[in-house]
Amino acid sequence: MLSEHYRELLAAYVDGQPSSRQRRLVQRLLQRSAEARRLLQRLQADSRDLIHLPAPRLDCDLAPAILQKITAGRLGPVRRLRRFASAPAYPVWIGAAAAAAILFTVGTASYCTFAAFLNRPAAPSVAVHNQNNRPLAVPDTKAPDEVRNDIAQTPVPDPLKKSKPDLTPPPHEGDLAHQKTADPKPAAIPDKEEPVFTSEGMEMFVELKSVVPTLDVPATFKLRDLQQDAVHKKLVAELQKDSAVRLELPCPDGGRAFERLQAILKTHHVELMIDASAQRRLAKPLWRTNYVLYSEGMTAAELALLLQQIGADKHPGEIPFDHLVVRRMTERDHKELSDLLGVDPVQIKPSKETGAIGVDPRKPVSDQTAAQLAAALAGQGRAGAKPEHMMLAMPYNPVRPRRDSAEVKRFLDERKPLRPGALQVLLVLRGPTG
Amino acid sequence: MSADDHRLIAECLQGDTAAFGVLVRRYQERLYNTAYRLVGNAEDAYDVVQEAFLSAYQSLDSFKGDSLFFTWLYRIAVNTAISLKRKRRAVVSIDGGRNGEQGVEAADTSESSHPGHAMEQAEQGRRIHEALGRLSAEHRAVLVMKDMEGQKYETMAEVLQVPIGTIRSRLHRARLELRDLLEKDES
Repeated sequence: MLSEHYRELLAAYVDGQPSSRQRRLVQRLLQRSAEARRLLQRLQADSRDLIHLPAPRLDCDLAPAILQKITAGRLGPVRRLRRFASAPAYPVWIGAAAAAAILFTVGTASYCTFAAFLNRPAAPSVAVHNQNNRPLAVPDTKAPDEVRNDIAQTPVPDPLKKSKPDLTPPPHEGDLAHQKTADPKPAAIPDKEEPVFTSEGMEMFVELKSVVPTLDVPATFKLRDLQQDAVHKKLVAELQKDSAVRLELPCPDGGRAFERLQAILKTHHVELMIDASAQRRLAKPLWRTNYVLYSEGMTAAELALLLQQIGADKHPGEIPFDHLVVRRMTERDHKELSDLLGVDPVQIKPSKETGAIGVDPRKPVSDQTAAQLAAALAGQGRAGAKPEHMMLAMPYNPVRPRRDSAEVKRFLDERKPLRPGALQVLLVLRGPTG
Repeated sequence: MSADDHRLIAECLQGDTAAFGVLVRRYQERLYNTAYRLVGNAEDAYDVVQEAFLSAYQSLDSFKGDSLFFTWLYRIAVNTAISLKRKRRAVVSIDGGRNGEQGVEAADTSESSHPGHAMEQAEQGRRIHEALGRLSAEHRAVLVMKDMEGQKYETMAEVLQVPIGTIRSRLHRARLELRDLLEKDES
């Protein structure tokens, strides 16, 4: 059976259409394929038959019938307006002049509008922090030179002093002398901060100032610096800003970083529940994997201590981390967490405490006994020192989360009510490809 | 366009319907041939030709004279026939008689001394005609225009208002489709 391509080639051959390459191809095909030869012969025969089909003859004159229809229907050639063929009703220069006039009018109107806007009597274009309500610069009443002098005399606050704005001029002898002569009684420093405008249009920064504190800017720490008390306190303060935080630990090797973190967690009595897929990935160090850990129950101080420990004890070159990024959890983080766990544990708080002996009254005793036995057999039982906190570790893949793992279920089942000051922490170990 | 056609068209535009009658008589036979081959029966072919002439008369003012009047008329007729064929696609008409006449005239037996040969030719013509009637309007149009009327690709492209490449590929597929239909008929 010939392919459709060859069939079309043969059809093209009948019409004498193929290119020289196609013609050679058809000739080779005809040499080796009897079916192709047969098809070509038939196509040619069909074409001949079509050509020789007898022509039908018109046995009557159609003109009377057509003319009768034209007359009866009062049909006639439809006269169409030939807009483009006919000469324009007015000379071309009139159109050009009209366009120029419109442009001129629009331009003039724009100029007048903006000129009026620019010349409006605005608030003082140059002003100083004026605690005595005395205008130091009144541009409407002063000559430009006087205004310039005012600018020169305007005290500039020292940006390095943060607590209170220092409105005294820089300690320049000439300036001091000038101030003494001009204003023997320097004004007292006001208690409250007032906006200082140095030029027209700076008012917008007042609005910006009110927005800046609401921006959630991540804080970055060098892990080595966490040994310093000041930095450690700053980290604690940063962690205390919210009850849910996201930490990022960039690391060149996710597996090595995980091992380091695991060791530190063990010393801090944090039970690490490693998801099965994470365990598989940890067993394959060549697979570059990012990991995410979720914990709740640690306070800011405990967490800061743990993070401090991560960056300590070893030579700097051996620590698989360098920086720590801290920021509050955003809506996106909540969504990511929900995707990873199946629920957003930050929004859905842990259920009530289980019974005094660690028994959940909502579940049958047999079920819990079986679960505890299974956990003990798996080496994750509660024999020995009881861990203070739990942490869940999973591969970090927000695109394809695996929320159906047994570890996730167990973690969610064993959640405890949050104690005051406890944080909900999403910690991401992010490799260079993440 | 011939000067005579041009003069007749100018007279039509001035309201002289008789001038249009002259044009009808001049081209009706050729248009009828095409229409008949496209629609497959005489009755529809008459309708197509009449419709084409009436449309042409009504839009005579839009005829610019860039091409031959017949080419313009031919385009109108072909498009009218294709439209009609599309409308009646579901109905496969194999008789084409008007007043009982045969759709395909019998082959001229005088050209062949062998009576069996004439019958074979007539039978083959009937089969081709039937298969042609079962093709799609587009495929039928290209086959009729190319093989039966010997039109050039450029003219076909102009009439059907498609690129020449489309005409070529459409023609190849039409040949193969016709062949398949004939083989089915044979089997």
